[in-house]
Amino acid sequence: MPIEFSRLSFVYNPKSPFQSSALNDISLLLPEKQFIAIVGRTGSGKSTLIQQINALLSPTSGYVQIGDFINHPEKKPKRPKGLNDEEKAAFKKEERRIYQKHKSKDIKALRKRVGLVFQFPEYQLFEETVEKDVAFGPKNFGVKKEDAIRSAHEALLRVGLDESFFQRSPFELSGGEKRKVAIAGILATSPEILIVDEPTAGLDPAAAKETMELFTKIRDAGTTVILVTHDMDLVATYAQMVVVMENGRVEKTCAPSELFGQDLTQYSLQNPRIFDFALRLKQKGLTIDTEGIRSVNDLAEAIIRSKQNG
Amino acid sequence: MNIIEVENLTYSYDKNEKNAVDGVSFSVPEGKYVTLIGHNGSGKSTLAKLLSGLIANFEGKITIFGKEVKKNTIHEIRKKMGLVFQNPDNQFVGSTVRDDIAFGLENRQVKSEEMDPIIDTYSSKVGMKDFLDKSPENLSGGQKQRVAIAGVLAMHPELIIYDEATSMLDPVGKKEILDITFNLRNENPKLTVLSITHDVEEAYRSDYVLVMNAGKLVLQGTPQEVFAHQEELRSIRLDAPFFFSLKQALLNRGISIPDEIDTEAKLEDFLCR
Repeated sequence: MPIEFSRLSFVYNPKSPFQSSALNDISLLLPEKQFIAIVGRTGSGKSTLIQQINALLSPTSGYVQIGDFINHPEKKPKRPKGLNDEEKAAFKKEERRIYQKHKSKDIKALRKRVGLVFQFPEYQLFEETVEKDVAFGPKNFGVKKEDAIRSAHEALLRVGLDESFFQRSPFELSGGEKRKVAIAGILATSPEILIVDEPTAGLDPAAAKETMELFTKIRDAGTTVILVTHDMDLVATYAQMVVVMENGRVEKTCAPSELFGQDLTQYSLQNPRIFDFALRLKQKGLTIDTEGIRSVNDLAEAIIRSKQNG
Repeated sequence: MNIIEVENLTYSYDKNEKNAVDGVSFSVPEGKYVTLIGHNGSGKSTLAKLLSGLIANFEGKITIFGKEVKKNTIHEIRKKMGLVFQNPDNQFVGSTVRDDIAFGLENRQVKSEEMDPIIDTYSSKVGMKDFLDKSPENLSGGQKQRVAIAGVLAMHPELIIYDEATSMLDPVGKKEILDITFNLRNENPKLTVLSITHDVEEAYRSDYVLVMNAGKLVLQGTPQEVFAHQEELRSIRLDAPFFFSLKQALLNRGISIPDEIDTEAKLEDFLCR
């Protein structure tokens, strides 16, 4: 299920003293079954963008199409003046296509297909046991209780929490374990698209690595994974496609290797440390091939190769 | 002089469970930037809560500014202490960013005509001056963290405790906030900082590093001393800063690097020689 943004803009609290424009004329195609990273400085519009995908927010103008669902503004735009009959007909046809009326069951169906894991999702845990908390999602989407519990168990095992956790209270777990429970809660509804917002914030490096490897497995199983992050080291290691946002606009869409190696300070981003170091060596005159570098060990080997050749 | 002294501190949330903080002793001298690192569940955040007086009933002794932390001393101690926690939503009180920063100043009876320049200075230091009249709810996680930090810095604390205070910032923002904190410390050599963090690069820049695991303090020393113990750090799920990992990766591949190469810049020069 691809996601297509078409000239989408969004304003928070329009026509109030707190009015602020968060997204500006976004056109973007996110292909399915990929590991996609959305990067940009804090406040660049990343979180607002993803909330359009599962219709937590609706555009102020433009639209985003997710499979057959179109998230559109509440009000239809006025037809521009001075159109000829043919253009008027085309306008009307397009209007009819985009402005489908959504019933609440359509939105529910969309949210089942698009799972969104917020920042610090562990703050949203609420049930008495881990099992109940994870089963809440599928039950909420109308799955029978036994089936919901079965999905919950499967999801918990996928995130690396075994049977010994099922009957425990989520509140007595460590921060990293709580986050796994929260992620399992979304996985239990088997989304086709999984959106994760800064999933490694506040996790220690080992837990962060486990979490990222989990998302890679989920992608391999055929789910689109959309990662919102400002950690470029994660992007270098895991993402297949990267979307750079700045001031509510999409500045660039490319493969990670194409992005690294150029000056990223204009987007308030830094190259991953390995690329940054390699670039400085290049500036100081060492000929070093950065192609295919993904880890510190790769970098060490590239340095040694260049010393041997030089 | 030591600003914080902790002696044999022990605490458990539940008598039947093992101690979250287990016999920890350390001291933080005046004017030092000290980082405390450890994986999730190592007891770091519990220690932060104990130091800020949010948890009582502990065993052992905590002394801050020469006063023992107790029910009747904690308010006095907190007046000179600034706390910034991981989730700034738990800290907001004002309906605008300006009100929020003003709240702490009002509590300290700063005159209203003196307040505006202070608010302007610190909001611009953290890059949030344009947001003064916005509602904190509409800010991103990282912007909220900036506001929370401005609110604390505006009160000129003598001791700042950060508990994962920059975890939601992008790398450039994170570096900015660290630079601001280091600069404040340089302007005021008496400012003491204790930062509880996962960011080993921040630890690498600090004066002194404390490492916690399973409630105990397992390593402490200068960054050079602590990060020399790479195997031990890895065994308790901590990474080394980039510089140390790369140096080790080169050493493992038979490149000999003299001991005096102890910063990234020196390593670059050494490799390009």
